[in-house]
Amino acid sequence: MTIKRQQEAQGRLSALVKALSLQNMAIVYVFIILCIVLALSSDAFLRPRNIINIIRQASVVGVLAIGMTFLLSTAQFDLAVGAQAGFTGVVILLLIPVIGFIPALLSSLGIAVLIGLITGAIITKIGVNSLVTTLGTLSIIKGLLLVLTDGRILRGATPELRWFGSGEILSIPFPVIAFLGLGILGEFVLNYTRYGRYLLAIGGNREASKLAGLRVDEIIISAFVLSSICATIGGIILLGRIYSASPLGGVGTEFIAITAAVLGGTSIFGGEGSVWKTVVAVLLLQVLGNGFNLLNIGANYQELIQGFIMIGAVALYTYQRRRQ
Amino acid sequence: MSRSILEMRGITKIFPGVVALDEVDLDVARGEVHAVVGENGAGKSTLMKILSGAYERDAGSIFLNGQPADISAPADAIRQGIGIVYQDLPLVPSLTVLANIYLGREETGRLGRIDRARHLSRYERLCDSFGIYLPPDSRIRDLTVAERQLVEILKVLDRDAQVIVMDEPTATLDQNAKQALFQTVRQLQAAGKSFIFITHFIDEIFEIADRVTVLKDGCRVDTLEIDQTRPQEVVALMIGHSPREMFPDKTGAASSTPILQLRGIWINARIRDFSMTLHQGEILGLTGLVGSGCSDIVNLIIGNLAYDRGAVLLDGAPTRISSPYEAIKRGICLLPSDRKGSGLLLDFELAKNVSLSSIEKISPRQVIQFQRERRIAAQFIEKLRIVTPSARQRVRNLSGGNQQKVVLARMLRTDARILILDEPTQGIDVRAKEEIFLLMRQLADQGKAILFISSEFKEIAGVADRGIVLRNGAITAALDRNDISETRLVAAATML
Repeated sequence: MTIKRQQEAQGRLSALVKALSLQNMAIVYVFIILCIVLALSSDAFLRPRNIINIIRQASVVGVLAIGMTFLLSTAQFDLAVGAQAGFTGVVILLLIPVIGFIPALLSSLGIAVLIGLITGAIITKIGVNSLVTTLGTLSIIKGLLLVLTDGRILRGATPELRWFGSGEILSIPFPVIAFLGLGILGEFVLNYTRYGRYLLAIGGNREASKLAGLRVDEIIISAFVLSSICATIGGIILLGRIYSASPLGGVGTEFIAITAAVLGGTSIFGGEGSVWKTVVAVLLLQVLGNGFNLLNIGANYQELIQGFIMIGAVALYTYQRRRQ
Repeated sequence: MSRSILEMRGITKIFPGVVALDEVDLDVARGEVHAVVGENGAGKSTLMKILSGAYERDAGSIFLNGQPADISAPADAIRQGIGIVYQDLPLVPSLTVLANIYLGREETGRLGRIDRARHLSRYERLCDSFGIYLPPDSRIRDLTVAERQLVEILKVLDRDAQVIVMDEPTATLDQNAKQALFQTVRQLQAAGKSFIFITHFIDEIFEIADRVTVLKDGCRVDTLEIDQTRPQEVVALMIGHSPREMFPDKTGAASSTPILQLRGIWINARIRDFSMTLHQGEILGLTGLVGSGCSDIVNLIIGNLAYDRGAVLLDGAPTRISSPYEAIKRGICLLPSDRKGSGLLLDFELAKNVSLSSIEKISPRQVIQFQRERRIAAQFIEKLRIVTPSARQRVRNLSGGNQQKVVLARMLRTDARILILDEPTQGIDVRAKEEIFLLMRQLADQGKAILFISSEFKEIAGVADRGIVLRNGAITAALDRNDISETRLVAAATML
């Protein structure tokens, strides 16, 4: 009995060692090192205001990246979420004068569900792959943005809307609460609930999951709906932060979202996903930009560095997995 | 035989723990069709892989036209006139016949432009000299299986093959296509080409072959002139009198309640008028060669394949199952034949694989009870004697037999009444096989109904209470407890 307990303790220890290994935690260590470097080289970095600011700036991409982590875990992805975030702003601004604030908000969420359902159904029921389908929806949503705005920037955010960008609860801004809150919720759902298990199982082996009795198509569709809702929440925060909606708002952020999820160790082939590490990766990318500003390097270098970090991280994951 | 074009002498191949080939001899005369037969695992494909240079031999020598041949890589075999027509026809579906035949060996003109005219004239000469014709610009994906096979044959002929190896060439052909293929083979034979035919179909070798070599457990049993033997003799040699594997006693209730019935099922032209009844507490064997339709029956029962005509009855009531999800809800659970491709989540830990179909029961509310999940896995590790360091081991790192036990554990957790085991012993060692057979019998004794699909006739004969044999989508034998024997199963599956 004692031997068994010892073995168990050893098992737990080796599990802990594995969990903290470079392979699992590379992104977290890079993030910590970067923070230390910035803290040492700039007094401003560790000020609460600066930290809150970083998280707030990261929030829109962050919420999108959380949704994307769910999709990638099932071996799917969606290129339209950035445009959808911008679309949300336009829809809300156009609807508020007509039906009022709360109904406009609810409508935008309803549209999100609809977009997710349609995208997911095309991908699962008809079998078009997600790259092609979401390139199509991306184009459609961008087109709708231009049609609805006639190419102009829409203004007229109401005070209630601004609250989603800068309102505070216990002196923490709403975007920060939404981003970190969804991060915690997402991590819990993906790795600690049955639903999350289904998503990961389907990403791990779709055929085996189907034969094991999972409702594969329905679960994949639900992941698209979740991601679509995340995009809309991101869109609401974006609208609340910049008070206006432009025909190009949000477009392109999907790539940062995918970058962050992949940096966090979520496999684009599915089966593995970590929402909390996606959150860390989003913050890493934001801190990088913030650090460039503080150190006067200039934001122009950000994407350049981002690309190297992404390829470096994925090369490391891939190399280590192949060696196993 | 002095006019031999190919001689293989004392070929031996040892894999870790298994002697796959033990001093096997094979000689093929110019213009001969030489059949090689044997049960699964007899060594046919290993022998051909050595001939094609895919495997290196551990002992023995190969002579071509009486000269020692050095074959240590596929390119060597091709260069020396050995052409292999693979069963799965490795062609590029989106390219044309012409492009496939010259793939990797394109003749090019200026600026690297592919010289189509030269290909075409070469192709036409090739077709003319052997009396074969296929439109050169057809895309492979638009061709029938038989036509694709011709492309493969043309491909090896273009490389001047003298000995053409065909691996199970008729398994996926209908009667007409088969006759057309045989016609082509005879033409090529007349032109001096030699063939090695790897096949399971005993009756066919009497149509096309000149001689037959029988392999068993890695040894050559005999080589016979076709006109001096009979199909029954070949089957007897194939089966031999090898030491029996340990099979559990058959205790299946002779007359119990029917649970699952299939009545007059038709699926396109693939399955024709199939009926079966599965009773509580019995193991029903379903067998046939590749392409016989067994997998269609499996997919139909679990709702993965629609049928055109017929009825499925569950507990006597007509029922329609349209997805594996519904099948499991109704107590029908499958162990898929492709363990790695469609059975397991290879990168998931053992415990998660075990719980996959029953996670609702393990965690009645959404939050997963990890402790409970691992405890249940640990119970199965003990009960099924799964060799693993822990319940958290990734199943990719387990041996085949242990992986299969993980899938079995998942099935057992579902409390299904009907268990469909599709090739459960594929690629696992003898000990694990015996354990799985014993477990199957125990489950049947507990009242489960088991449908056991296997292409190993010996296993069906040894384990199943009753057996059904399919060939080309139709039942050729239904054997009850007193009739079932390996000889009868083999005869029904391989002879018309």
